[in-house]
Order: sequence, then structure tokens, then C-alpha cells
Amino acid sequence: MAHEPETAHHSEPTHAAHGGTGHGEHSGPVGHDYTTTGLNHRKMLMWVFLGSDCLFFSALIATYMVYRGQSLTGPYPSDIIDIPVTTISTFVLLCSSFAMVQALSATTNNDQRGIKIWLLATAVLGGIFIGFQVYEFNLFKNEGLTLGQNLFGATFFTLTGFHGAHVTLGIIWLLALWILSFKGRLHPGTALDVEICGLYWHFVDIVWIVIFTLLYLVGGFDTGPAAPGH
Amino acid sequence: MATTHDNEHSGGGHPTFMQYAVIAILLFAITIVEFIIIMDFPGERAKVISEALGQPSTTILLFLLSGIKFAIVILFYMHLKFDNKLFFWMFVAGMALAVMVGLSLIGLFTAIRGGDVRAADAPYVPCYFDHERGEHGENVCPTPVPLPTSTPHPVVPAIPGGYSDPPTDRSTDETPTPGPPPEPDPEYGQYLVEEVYFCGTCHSTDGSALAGPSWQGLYGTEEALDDGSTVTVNDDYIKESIQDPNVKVVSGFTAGLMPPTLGVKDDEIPHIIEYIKTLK
Repeated sequence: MAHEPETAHHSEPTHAAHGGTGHGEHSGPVGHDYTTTGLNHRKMLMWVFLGSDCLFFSALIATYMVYRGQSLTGPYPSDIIDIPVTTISTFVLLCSSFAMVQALSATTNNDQRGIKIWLLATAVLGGIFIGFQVYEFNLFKNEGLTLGQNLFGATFFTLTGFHGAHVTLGIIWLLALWILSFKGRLHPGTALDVEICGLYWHFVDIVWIVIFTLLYLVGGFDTGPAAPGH
Repeated sequence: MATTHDNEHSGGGHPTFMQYAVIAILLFAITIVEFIIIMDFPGERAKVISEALGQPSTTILLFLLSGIKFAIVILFYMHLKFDNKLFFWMFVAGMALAVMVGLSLIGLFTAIRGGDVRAADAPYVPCYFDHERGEHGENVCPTPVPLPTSTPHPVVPAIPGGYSDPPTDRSTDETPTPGPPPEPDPEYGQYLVEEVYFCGTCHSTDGSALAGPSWQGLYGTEEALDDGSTVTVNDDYIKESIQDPNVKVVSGFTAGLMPPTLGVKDDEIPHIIEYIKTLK
């Protein structure tokens, strides 16, 4: 613990009694993981981050809703939104959340093979989701919808683009954990590493649930303004 | 304290593989239900369920179903049901703030626009600063005049061929649709006036005075100007008034209202002049 001098002044009498997490290769920082609330500070940090990330997405979603139906030139949502395709990509993301909980479950059960399989499955499913998004963005671009084409394009690409960026970051995180699993770094003592990544991953999933409902199921049929004289 | 640690840690009451699988199937099922509610079925145009329910009920139902999915994921996949309540409230607080911020933004913009109004619907009549008014001058914002046409969205140009042929930037659009005729053509001038530049916002063709002088019987007349002089309305005067509208301002009208940046191109002006000539 001498290599963690910044934590030396922390006084946490209770953590010594905490089984499991104080051992292994993460013994240094993990030994000081508990705040005066008794909650793990890394997990607390992730929840606070997710709470604030809600605000980030709500601003982008509200911007979309404010400008919904305000575009004066096409393409409009009804021209290009493909709900069946996006429903499939939504399924893929839901599957990845299922794989994620299995990865955490395998970690707490020290099922090394399961950890590797489920982490990779989660990352690959996330990658397929991103593949769908790249396909969709490219299709929209070819149909004439760009970030600068109209208000729909601007708000749509900003919102779904930032969501895609979150997913991409999650994939990188998952692959990093997957690589760690080959070094034997994931076990019940470090299950929190997987759990925190899982929280982030599930959050990205629930944001998509909201986006899918608002932009596709509800807003996907929006048309342009009535043509003059009609 | 040790009890708290145990409570917030994994294990204990967490769902098993089968329970997680059931949750996943439930999430899939809800998504399928949402899909069925809104999608057209192949072969029949009727959106059976959504049309039977009506637009508001469908939207509320979709929100409800999504809310259930949302809750299932955060409670079970993210373990908020089993974890320490502080995590739950930390997230719910952020989420509640987020919802309020979102609703406030939507409410704010809806209030400003007064409901379902297209952003560019209001005719463009700029405010100007009048040095003569008040002690130190003040801003004057003329009330937007109603458009002479009765169409609900008059600023939207007709787009032949739909969105695949959008009217791009007017200043660079060399081939408006329909293409400009070689000779000055009053009909093409009328198209430019009514469909492209919306001159009718400020210039009537029936003699009534809007923000600018009416065009009825305008061509060839003598107009009294602000500075006391007069000018004959001919091709040169109209061209100058389009390109540099504030040089000669007709008596009784306000300088500075007409933007010199309308983007009317040189070769379009003869068509507009021909059109004005027809307005007897």
C-alpha cells in the first residue's frame, strides 16, 4: 500500500472487516473504497455521473422536441425514418444489456470462461448497434439529410450522435475489461469494475429506450409543412 | 456499517440467470407491442391499433410502455431495487431535474411561439432605431402585416418534385424552377414575387398601403419622396429600389424597413418590372 501514499491519510476502520474486496491486485485503492456513508465511492461517483448525464440528454431531447415539426425543407422524419430497422437495432441493444448482466453474474461467480464470453458478447452487440447507426446515418446523408439541412437533421444527428458516442465509449470500456479478463484480473474481488461498467452500459440502454420512443415511434411519422395552396 | 456494505454489494437478492432471461423477454415483448401499435401492416395502409386509439392515446400508451421498460432496466439490470436506497435517490433526483429542465425548455419555446407555429412563419419586418422618438430615441418594431395570401404556411416555397429537389440558397440558385424565360415575362415575375421573395408581405397589388407602397398602377406614375422631390417610376427606379431600397423613400413610408439583402438577381429584375407593369 506504500505505492498509494495519497490514500494513507484516509481513516477507514471498517474496510478491514470487509471481506474479499481488500485483496488481490487491486488491494491498494480498493481498501479505501468506502465513504462515510458506507457506500463505495466509485459506485457513488458513477451514479452521480449518470444522474447528471440525464440532464445532458434531457437538454438534447428537449431541443429535439422544441424544434420537432419546425423544419421548412425536407427530408422530414416520415420521408426517411425506418422504424423496422431501428426496432432491430433496439433489440440488439436490449440483448447487449442482458449479456452485460450475465457478465457481472459470471464475475461474481468467478466463472472465468463466462466473463470472457459475456463481456465480448456485450461489446459485439454494442458494435452491431453502432453498425446500424452508421448505416442509418449514411442512408440519411444519401437521402439529403445532413446536420445542416434542416432543424430535424440538426437536432436528430446531435441527439443520436451523442448517444452513439456514449455507446462507443462503452464498447471501448467493455473491450478493456475483456482484455483484463485474459490477465485474470476479473474475479469476485474486482466485480465492482464490471458492475460500474454495467451501470454505464445499462444507462446508455435506457437513454436509447427514450430516444427510440420519442424520435422513432412518436416522431417518426412527422411530415413537413402543408404545401401552399393545398 | 458492515451491514450497509453487505447491502449495497452484489449477491443476496440479485436475480438468477432465468430471472434475467425472463426480464429480457419481457423487454423484447414490450418493444414488439410498441412496434405493432405504430407500424403499418404490409398490404393494408391502416394503422389498425393506433388509429383505433387516436393520436393522443397512442402517444400516452407508448410513453407508458417505454416507462415500464425504463423502470425494469434501472430496477433489475442496474440493481436499484436491491441496492442501497441512496443510489436510487441520487439517480432519481438527477432524472427528475432532467425531466423538469426538458419540460421547461419545451414549455418556454411553446409559450414564445404560441403553439404550433412554424419558426419562419412570421413575416420579416425588422425593428429599427428611431432617433426622433423619446428623449434618446427608441426601438420601433412594426407589427408584422398579414400576408395577402390565405395559405397557412405562405413562406414555404412550392417545391416541385418534393424534398429531393429543395430550393437551395436563393443567392446561388442559378436555375429556379421553372427555369427563367429568356424575355422579360410578367408571369415569371409574378412567380418570383409571390413564391420566391414574398414581396407581398409589404407591397399590396390592390392599392392598400402595407409597410411599403402598393404596386397597383405604380408603373409610370410620379411618386413624392421623403426629401420633397419627385421621381418617375420607371425601370431604373424600380431596379434601384430593389437593390438599394433606402436611397429614394416614398413620402409617408419608413426608411430601413426593406432589407437590401433580399437576394434578387440582376436578371430577375426585368421579370419583376414586367409583372409590376401589368398591375393596373
